[in-house]
Amino acid sequence: MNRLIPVAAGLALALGVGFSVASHAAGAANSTVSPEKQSILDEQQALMSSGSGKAKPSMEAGLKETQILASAQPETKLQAGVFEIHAGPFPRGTFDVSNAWRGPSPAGDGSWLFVYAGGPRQDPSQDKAVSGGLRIFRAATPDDEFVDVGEFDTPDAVGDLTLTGGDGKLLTVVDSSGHKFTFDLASDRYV
Amino acid sequence: MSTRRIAPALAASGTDITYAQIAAFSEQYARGYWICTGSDTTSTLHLAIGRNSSGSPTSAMGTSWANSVVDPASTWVYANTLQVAIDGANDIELSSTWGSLSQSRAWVGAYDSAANSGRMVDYGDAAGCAQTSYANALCNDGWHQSDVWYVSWASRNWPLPEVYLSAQSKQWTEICLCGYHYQTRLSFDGPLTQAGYGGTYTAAQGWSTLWTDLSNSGACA
Repeated sequence: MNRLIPVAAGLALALGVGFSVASHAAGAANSTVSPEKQSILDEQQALMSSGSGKAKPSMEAGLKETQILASAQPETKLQAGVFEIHAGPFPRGTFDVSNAWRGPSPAGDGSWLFVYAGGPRQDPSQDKAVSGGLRIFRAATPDDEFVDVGEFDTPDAVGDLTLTGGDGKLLTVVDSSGHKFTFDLASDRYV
Repeated sequence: MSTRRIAPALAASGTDITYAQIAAFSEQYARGYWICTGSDTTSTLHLAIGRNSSGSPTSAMGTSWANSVVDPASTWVYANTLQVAIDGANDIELSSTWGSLSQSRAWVGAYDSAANSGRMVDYGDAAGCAQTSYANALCNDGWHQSDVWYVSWASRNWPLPEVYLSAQSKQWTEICLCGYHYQTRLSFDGPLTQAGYGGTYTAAQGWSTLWTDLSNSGACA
């Protein structure tokens, strides 16, 4: 199998930082690559195997390592407001992100909302969203996992939406033609 | 790695994290793989530490991604684990709202020169590229097929392309053919899918589609 190196890929993508995880036959001779490229694979295989006398720690010891690291991690302190970002906590290719807003939920329960402005992309082989929308996520605290609240598109928008401001209750957005929209975070609808 | 926050959520919240933190997350992920595979001592993981091409990528950023993220993580991982290899990566997309052609090429060129080991995995797209021609046709936003070839196959670069639907498989097959006729053909790590999200390909569908298109291409079979 020379064309495709076997890959079982899991991918977590977000905000300019991604971890691509692929398990494959590292270092296996590949007849389609140049000697220069093969040398990269060979060197990597050697590095990966270096110190092969290392003893693998037990699962229990590994868990203790994780607990120590977690306890040393500082709390996140976020500022509410619009911030620049071009990817959200969802696969890219179905929704393009222009920017985002974050802040305490108007529900007053201590949860935070993370709102990504942009638009749904219907054809991933192209790079343009066809209409604007918002994708909203909620977290019990800024440190907790995101829960998907929903996608709120507006057929009246021309192209992607961009957030221009928000006060925690109302968000203001503009489309690519400069037309302004207001979104009510309490009712999850455009007003 | 902390169980309190995972990297995707951390990043999506707009929290600033340092290069040192990214390296540390990667190191712990690698160590977690090694430990949690338990009695399995033969499987291997390639962990590609990536960013994307949004914003305004520069050559200085490419250099620092290698020197401050990937190389330190590699050094630590090779000293403290087995079964894991470290690569750099970039989700390079041909988008009018992301980095330009020249910016992306500059980032890749600088990364390739600075990295001490491993590959640079391009897990991006080829938006707007031809699906039936390999004559260095124009893609979106001023890119040509040869530019996609460069960022995904020149030097230490390796393609793990987005194949969410049929058109993308055809686009990458033509880029492979473009490489074959004008430089060298690509050798794919495999397709990147969204596991069926939003009606796009599952991993198996993405794999079989790219496999079939390459098989039918002649030179890239």
